Amino acid sequence: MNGVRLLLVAVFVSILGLSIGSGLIAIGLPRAFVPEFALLYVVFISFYVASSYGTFLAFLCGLIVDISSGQLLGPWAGAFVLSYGAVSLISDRIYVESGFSLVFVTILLTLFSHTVYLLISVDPLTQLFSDWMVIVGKSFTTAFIAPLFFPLLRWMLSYSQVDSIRARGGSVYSIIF
Amino acid sequence: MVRQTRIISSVVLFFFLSLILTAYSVRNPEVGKLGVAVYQLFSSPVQGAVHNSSTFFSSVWDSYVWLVGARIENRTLKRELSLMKSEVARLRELSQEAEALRKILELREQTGYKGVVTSVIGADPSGWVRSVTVDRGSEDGIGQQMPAVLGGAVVGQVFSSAPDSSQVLLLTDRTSGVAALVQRSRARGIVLGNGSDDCIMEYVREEEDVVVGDTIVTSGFDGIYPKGLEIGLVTKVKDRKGGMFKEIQVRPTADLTHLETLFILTEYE
Repeated sequence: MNGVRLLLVAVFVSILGLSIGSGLIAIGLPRAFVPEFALLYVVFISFYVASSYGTFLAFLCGLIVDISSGQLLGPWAGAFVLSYGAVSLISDRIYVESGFSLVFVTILLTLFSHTVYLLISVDPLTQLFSDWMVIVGKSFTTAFIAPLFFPLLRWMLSYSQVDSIRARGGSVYSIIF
Repeated sequence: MVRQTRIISSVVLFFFLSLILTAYSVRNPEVGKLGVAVYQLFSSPVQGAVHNSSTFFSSVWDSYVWLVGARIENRTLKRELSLMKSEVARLRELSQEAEALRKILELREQTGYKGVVTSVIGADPSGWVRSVTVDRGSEDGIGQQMPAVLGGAVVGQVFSSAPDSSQVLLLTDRTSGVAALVQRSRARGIVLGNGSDDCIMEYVREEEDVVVGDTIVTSGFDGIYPKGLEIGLVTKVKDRKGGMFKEIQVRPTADLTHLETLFILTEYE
């Protein structure tokens, strides 16, 4: 049940986040100021669902972002999986209740995931240099949304349930059933 | 320790799966297009609602919230000013929409092209793909590779269509290419997007006559765009020393950063 809820929230947050981003760009907001909600969900699960099921959820969020772009399938999925892995392995040592550490981790993770995305997809260097302002802008926007977004996710997933998943740290099978 | 090992092995597994998927979709681009059609089925209602609500809040913010502070100084005057501004903004919007529709009508009358008028309801939020989502889809006769124009100028082509929405790949996307020619000298080439606001025209031979200010139009050789649609103006021409082709920079005629109404050509000769 917990695993199913995490899965549904992952799909919901990714699609809604992409739609909000898309709508904001359509009304004229610069791309640099559009937060990445799917990535925020990955940051969230890397703190609270440190298990192989969390890796699957990160992969799924990235895949939805890939699908929405209509181009290559896989680069965002790969970037999100590596980002998830990087944080979940050290999540025990980060005090997630602190807004500062959350913002800091989100900034680093957004920069990291964009870099991995460019390395997996084509033409990395020229894109990185031409759009680095957009990446930095996105990192800060996403990071400053994080302290507001995390309580909402805690409410949607009910914190105690998530915490128990973290404690179990089991496989995909053990969490779903 | 066991948990860490599990996480590392699952990350490695899913990362390799991502690489395999990437490699597969590079070789089979239609897989990505199929996926986006399914995604649009779920996202287009949400996208439409988000667009409508963001437009509503944006107009409320522009025409009301900014005036709250000033209203304390002179309530009556500001209220009138607010109403006037809203009215002017509304009329300006209507005027711009009428202008866009007039251009579309002119194009239809001049060329006999048939098509569908669409509104832009979204854009790719990742920043790496230059595409927009429009509010009409396959139910209105829109299909893949149909050209999208603004006035008489090329905007891009449809690369995916769901029943009630479509995605248009813009000229400036790095995967976009349009067969083109220089209107004055008839020199041929291909206009390619490079991910920035400008395009580049490749494969124009060194001996061809191209100068800054020349108009670039579609040649029709790609079988996607009809001949003679305006693409943009030449902003820079550079001769490559020892090379076979010129380096030409083109500024698209259509303002691709502020798209609102597009005309998708469904029938043309």
